[in-house]
Amino acid sequence: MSDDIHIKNLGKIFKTSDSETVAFEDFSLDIKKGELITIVGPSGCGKTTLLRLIAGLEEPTSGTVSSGDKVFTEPGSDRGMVFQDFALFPWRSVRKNVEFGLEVAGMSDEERHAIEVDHSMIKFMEVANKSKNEIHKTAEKYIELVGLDNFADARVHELSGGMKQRVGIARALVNNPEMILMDEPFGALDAQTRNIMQAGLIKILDKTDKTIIFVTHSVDEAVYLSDRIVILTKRPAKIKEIIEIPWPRPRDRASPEFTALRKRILEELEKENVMN
Amino acid sequence: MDETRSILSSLNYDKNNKYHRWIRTGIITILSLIVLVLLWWNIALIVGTPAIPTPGRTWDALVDLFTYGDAVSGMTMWAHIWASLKRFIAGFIIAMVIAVPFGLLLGYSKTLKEFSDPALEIIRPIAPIAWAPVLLFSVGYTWGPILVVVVGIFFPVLTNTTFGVKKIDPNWVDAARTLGSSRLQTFYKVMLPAAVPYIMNGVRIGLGVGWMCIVASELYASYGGGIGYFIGLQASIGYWPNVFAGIIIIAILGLLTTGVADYVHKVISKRMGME
Repeated sequence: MSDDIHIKNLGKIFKTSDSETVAFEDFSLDIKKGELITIVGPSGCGKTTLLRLIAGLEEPTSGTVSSGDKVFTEPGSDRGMVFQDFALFPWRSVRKNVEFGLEVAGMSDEERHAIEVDHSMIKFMEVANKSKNEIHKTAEKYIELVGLDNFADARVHELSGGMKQRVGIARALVNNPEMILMDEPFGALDAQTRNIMQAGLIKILDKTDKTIIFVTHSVDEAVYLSDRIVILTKRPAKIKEIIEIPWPRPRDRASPEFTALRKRILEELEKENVMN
Repeated sequence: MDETRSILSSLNYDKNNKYHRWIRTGIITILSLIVLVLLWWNIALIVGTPAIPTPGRTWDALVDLFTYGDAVSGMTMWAHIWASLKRFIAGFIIAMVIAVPFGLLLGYSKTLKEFSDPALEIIRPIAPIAWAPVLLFSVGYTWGPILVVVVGIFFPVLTNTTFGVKKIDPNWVDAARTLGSSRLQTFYKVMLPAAVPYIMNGVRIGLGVGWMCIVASELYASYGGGIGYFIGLQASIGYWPNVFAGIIIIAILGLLTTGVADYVHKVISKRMGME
């Protein structure tokens, strides 16, 4: 079904009238299907830019991001994204936020075929109605998955930060994308909520088996969640090191190997920052 | 006795009591209106011109007009009100249909805005009523006043809509696009609803301008009634209490329309958590 993601010789230069910033230069990385990979690095090294390039929200200056025979040049529903400041639509309820991706997807091929076979208005209404019901059911499923069943009709501003990001995750999952790109998704939350959300994410992961590309500032979070951690250098970002973590989840933050690894990564990042 | 005491004590009111707050607002509003009427009364007596009748005579005129109708034009007051209201509603709808999509496009496309701004900035400061002679002559008495209203409402709605699009959180657009939304879908499923509170703000301003336009253009020249037309007619025969009655009707109609717009704006803002 879904394939590994290949980032190949990626280059990205931001140009303004009087300056040029090289964010990436000849950057390559392979991401395995179904893995949770976190990207850490010094501030301003381009972690978010990398996610946006994969999402298709930024255009690479050179190189490609691809999966199977698809080359990603613009955003698509096969790559869901979760934003640090949630980016929920405040004029929509929780339910309607989650349904957004299904609404814009329109009819499935199957439904379109049904209308083409039988041209009547009644058939059209029947199909439209049925697809509306499908949308409700699918959205309901993901709202339940993130544990917001009791808040489906709440408005966005009535939710706490943690709840908002659960909506963000459900909204990204609803299109059944190949991968989820998470841009410091828990960065705006307090430490306690953060830990709850991380544990929740692991549970959701077990049920959906998606490839997750996760950008974070928190080394603790990276060690807690990842199959692999990619440490980037300062700009233009190169891969400094890739660390595999074979330990099962959920992980014990207090265990000696956890703290040792966290310490080592922090030291690596410290070196990058000092060199600035 | 108890009643009086409770009303008096409500001036020294309890902020958390909804009932108290209502009474307080009510008392202050009534006091404000009483001061207004007293001022009017004094000015009428001091100036002593027939063009400023006393509140009492104006009230009598209002009662007569609504009971017997307007003898000069042979129309009832309701017919006059309806004539103005019809023009106002038609102008409002036309202005919205043009200004909202155009405003969204201006917010969306920088090039289009750069191209349109010089032209718009020249036309915008012109008082809409200055167009009345031109519009009335070129499209006639039916559509002329309506188009003056269109001009009046168009600009506030346009600028506020454009401003609203500029204020849109770029993350909303990014989120929509990663959810598979096409550019067109992003336009009407994200930009339009996100701009609604700003559009409503433009509507609130536009409604006020719209009323000024309708009365002024009816005053200038009109056919088939209208409150502005009624005022002009009564002034031309020098029956000033009726002129003032017309002015008060305009005040009430304006108050009602902005009241409705304020309410809709409040409801929408509340739903979006923007209070």
